[in-house]
Amino acid sequence: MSTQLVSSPSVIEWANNVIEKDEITRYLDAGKDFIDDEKIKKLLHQNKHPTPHKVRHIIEKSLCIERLEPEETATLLNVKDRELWDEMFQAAGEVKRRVYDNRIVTFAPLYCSNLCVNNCLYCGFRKENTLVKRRRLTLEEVRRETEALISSGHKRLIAVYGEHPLSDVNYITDTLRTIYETKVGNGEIRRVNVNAPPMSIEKLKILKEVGIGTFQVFQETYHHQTYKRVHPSSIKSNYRWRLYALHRAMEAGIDDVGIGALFGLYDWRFEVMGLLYHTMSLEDHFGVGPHTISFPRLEPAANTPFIQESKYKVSDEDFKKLIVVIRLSVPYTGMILTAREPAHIRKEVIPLGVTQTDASTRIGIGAYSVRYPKQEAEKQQFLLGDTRSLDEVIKELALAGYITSFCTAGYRCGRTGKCIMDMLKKGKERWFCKLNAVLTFREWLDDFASEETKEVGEMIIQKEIKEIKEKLPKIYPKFMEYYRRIENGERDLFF
Amino acid sequence: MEKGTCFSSIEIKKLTDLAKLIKKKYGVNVWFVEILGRRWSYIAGQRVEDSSIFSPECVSISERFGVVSDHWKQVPPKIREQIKSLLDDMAREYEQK
Repeated sequence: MSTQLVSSPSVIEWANNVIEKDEITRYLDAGKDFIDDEKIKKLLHQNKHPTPHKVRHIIEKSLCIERLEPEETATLLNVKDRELWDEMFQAAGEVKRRVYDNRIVTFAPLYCSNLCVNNCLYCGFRKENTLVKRRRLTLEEVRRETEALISSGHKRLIAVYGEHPLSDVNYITDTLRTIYETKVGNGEIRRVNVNAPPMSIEKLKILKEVGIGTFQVFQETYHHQTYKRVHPSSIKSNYRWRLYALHRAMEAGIDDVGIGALFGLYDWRFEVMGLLYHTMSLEDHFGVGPHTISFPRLEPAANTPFIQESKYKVSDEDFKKLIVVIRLSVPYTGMILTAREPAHIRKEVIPLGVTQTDASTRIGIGAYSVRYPKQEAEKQQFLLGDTRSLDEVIKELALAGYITSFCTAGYRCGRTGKCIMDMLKKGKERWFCKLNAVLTFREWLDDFASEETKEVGEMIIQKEIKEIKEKLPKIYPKFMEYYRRIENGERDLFF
Repeated sequence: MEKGTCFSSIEIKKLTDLAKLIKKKYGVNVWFVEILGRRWSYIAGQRVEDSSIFSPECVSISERFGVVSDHWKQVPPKIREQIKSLLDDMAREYEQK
């Protein structure tokens, strides 16, 4: 079955017709893409041994919520001094607080299909991996998965798809509509982000019509030679088609996009520079950069020896550093940490500038509704590090002083694209973050929390309300009106 | 500031000027959005950054377009009709594209 799914003439023909060459060339600059490998290496080399004065000057710029220039990011990536790193760690946390306040948004991934025509050496879903059980959820199964997620209290999902004609844009839009239409009592999914293959502008316009949150395509690695080596065939072997996926999305009218790199394929410092250049290119072309940046690390996957053999695997210490430098480099963009990472690592890195994290994650196709207790490698793209429930994760966040937010307000009232980015940069959006975090957390505590988590959650909520009263006196009465209405059972009130 | 990808610069300018006028004459913040399912995507209009935090009134003007405002009802009916007419014209042009 697997061979037919990826090697049949119709699938091959489909794959041969996906890429629209003019939708790459239109963005090139004198025939070149925006990642100059030699220039990046030169910048990293030239900015070694930075002085503390220079580093502190750059940190100050980040604290003013200004995006860094490549030379500045390269400087930070070359810091060796432990004390300076400590200052950068502190600054990263402070930047996040100034832009996004004290909240951590939570979501769950929903893997809809693992059919794929590509053969990425690091991926459990690569077409040559015959050990993986191939599946594509029916719409009924999508509904059941969504119900299971709603029943744990999730309000935000990211739907994930392989690259295959059976999971094309029509399938994607059908599944997204199904997710949005599914309700369980008080619960529903209010925002669906999408992690899907690059598409043409025409296809992206179809996707846009559904009304998604963020559209994500990760470059995986920005290093041209490594990219070629780890993506040996099919559509994904085209570096530039992938690189300009989000430029095309913007042009199609999808103005909230997410970028990312898979750390462990190549030098992590190079990839951080790549993410910065990607941000800059989107800002230069469209006036707005990515809504989020993701930074997953390579994790073990069934029958995928490449991962064990990679010489660029990122240590825990370097992982913290790359998060900090990304945070300081693009102070206003969301940063997503996933359950690839084990609980103890997530606890350590969340204070370094993370804005979103997932919980109760299951990445097997159909795994939520089946509720199998253990991970099954042959059903998953990789093995998760953290399989804790949403309740457990929220409790830990609350004990650490963070309020968990299920906010979806922004994209439902015009705070999107350049609008929300400008508000984040000016420190205005953080107040909406605060208000909506409390309102959505109240909902979750009342509808889903265990007694133990509720006790801890109430303390955090009261602390936040006190701060709202002090810092937002004009809006406080309206806020408390909404809060009381939610306590009385009303749902989905937002600022 | 505007979203400049799907809409012409003339349309964006008309909406931006209209939002500025409404703010100046009536003290009301208005911005114009494209309605896509749950998503209300910003097109143009007066920025919240220029005013205080408020609870948004989200008003559908047509199936395709809406406004988000802090005090929509303070905008006189005649102006609201003008906005509706402008957005209806944009919706027709959008369908033809």
